[in-house]
Amino acid sequence: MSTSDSDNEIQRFLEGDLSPEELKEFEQKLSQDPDLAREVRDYERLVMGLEAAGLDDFRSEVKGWEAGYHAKHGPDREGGKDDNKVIPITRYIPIAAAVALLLFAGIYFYLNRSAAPQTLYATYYAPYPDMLTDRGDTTINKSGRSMLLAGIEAYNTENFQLAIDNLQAYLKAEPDQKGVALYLAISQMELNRFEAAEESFKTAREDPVFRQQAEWYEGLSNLKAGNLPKSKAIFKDIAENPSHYRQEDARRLWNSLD
Amino acid sequence: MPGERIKDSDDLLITIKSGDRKFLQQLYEQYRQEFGQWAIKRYNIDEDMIGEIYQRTFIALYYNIKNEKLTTLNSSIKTYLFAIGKNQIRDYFKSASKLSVAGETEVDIDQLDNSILDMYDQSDMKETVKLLLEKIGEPCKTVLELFYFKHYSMDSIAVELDYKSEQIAAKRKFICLKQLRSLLEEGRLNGLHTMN
Repeated sequence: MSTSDSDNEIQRFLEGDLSPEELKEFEQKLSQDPDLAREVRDYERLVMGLEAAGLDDFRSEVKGWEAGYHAKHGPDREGGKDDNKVIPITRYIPIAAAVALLLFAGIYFYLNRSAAPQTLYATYYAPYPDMLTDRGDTTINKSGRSMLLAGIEAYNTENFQLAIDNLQAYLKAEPDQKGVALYLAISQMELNRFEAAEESFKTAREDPVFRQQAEWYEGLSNLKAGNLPKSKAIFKDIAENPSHYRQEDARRLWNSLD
Repeated sequence: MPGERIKDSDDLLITIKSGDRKFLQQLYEQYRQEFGQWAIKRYNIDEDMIGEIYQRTFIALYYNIKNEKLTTLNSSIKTYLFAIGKNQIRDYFKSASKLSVAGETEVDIDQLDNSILDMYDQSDMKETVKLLLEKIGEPCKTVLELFYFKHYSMDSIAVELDYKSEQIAAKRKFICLKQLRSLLEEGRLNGLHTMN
C-alpha cells in the first residue's frame, strides 16, 4: 500500500468514515503493525489535545459573553435593567388594571386585616426540591447512602414518615451532612411534628448552603403551627436581609401577618 | 431573538452546530436573565455562582449539539438548557455541601450527555498541542484553529481559505495533523518533558 493510500485510510479512520468491514480490516493491521499503531495513537491523542484546547478557547469566549451580559444587565437578583426598552402605550393598560386591582385588594385587606395563617401557609408553602440525589441511580450500595436515597425518594413521593425514618438514620450515621436536615425538617413539618422540626431546622442552618432555605421553611413551620410571634420574627429578619433569596416573599408574608 | 426567530428546530440545531459565534452569543444572552432568576428563586443559588453555572450549562448544551448527542429537539431549546442547568445546580449543591452522593448525574431528557466535556478535560496533550500550534506556522495553524477552536465545517474552511473543495480542505487538515505529529516527534527526540 502506498503512503498516500495509508494516509487516506488513517484519515478516514480518524473521521469515523470507515465501513464496519474496513474498520475490522484496519484494526487487524493495527494489531500487526506496531509502527502504524503508534502513529494512529499519536494522531488520536493530538486530536483530543486539539479538542481540549478548543474547549478552553470556547470557555474563554463564553466568559467574555458573561462579562458583557453583566455590564449590560447588572446583578441577577434585581432582575436586570433594560434602559433602552420602549414600552408601547397598550402595555400600560394591563399595568393600570393591575394597579386598580391592587388598590381594591389593598382596601379589602385593610378591612379584613390579617389573613388567616393557614391560608398564608398554603399560599407560600411548596416543598424544597430534591437537590441531593440523581433519580435512577443504582450504583450506590453503601448503607449510609442507601438510607439517604431511600429518605429522599420517600420525601419526593410524599411518604413523609418513611422519609423521617431514613433521614434520621442517615444523619445519625453521617452527622456532618447537616444540609440533609432540611429535608428531615420539612418532612416533620408536613406531619405537624413542629418541635422536632425546630431542632432539624437548627441543624440545617449550620450548613451555609442550606441556611437560608432552613430559615424560610422554619418561618413557614411556625406559621403552620400557629406560633405567630416566632413566625413573624423570622419573616421580619428575612425581609430585612437584601441577600436572602425569599426576601420579597417574606416581606409580603410579614405585612399580611401584621 | 435567535431561539424564537428560527422556528424550525432542525434549522436551529444546524445553526448552533455551525458554531456561528454571533448567533451563539445571542442565544446565550436570550436565556441568561431568566436562568438567573429561576436559579435564585427555585434553588437559592449564590449570585456569584449563577454566571459560572450558566456558562457551564450553555457550553454543555452546545457540545451536545456539536458532537451530535442531541440531533432532534422534542422540546424547546430552553427546556434542554434548563434541564442541563438543573444537573449543574445539583452538582454545585453536592460539591458546596460536600454531600457524598455518588453516581453519574442524570438529565431529564434522554439524549443529553451531561459528562460530555469530561473526556476533553482529561486529555494529557492539551498544553503540548498549544505549544505545537505556536510552532507549526501557516496555513496549518489557521486550518487547525478554524476546525478545532472555531468549529468551522470543512466546507466553511474551504470558503474561508479559498480551497477548491471541502475534500481539499480535509486533505489539508490531515497534512497539518501530520506536521503536528512531526513536531511532536522532534520534541520527543529533543527530550522535551511536555512532549511525552
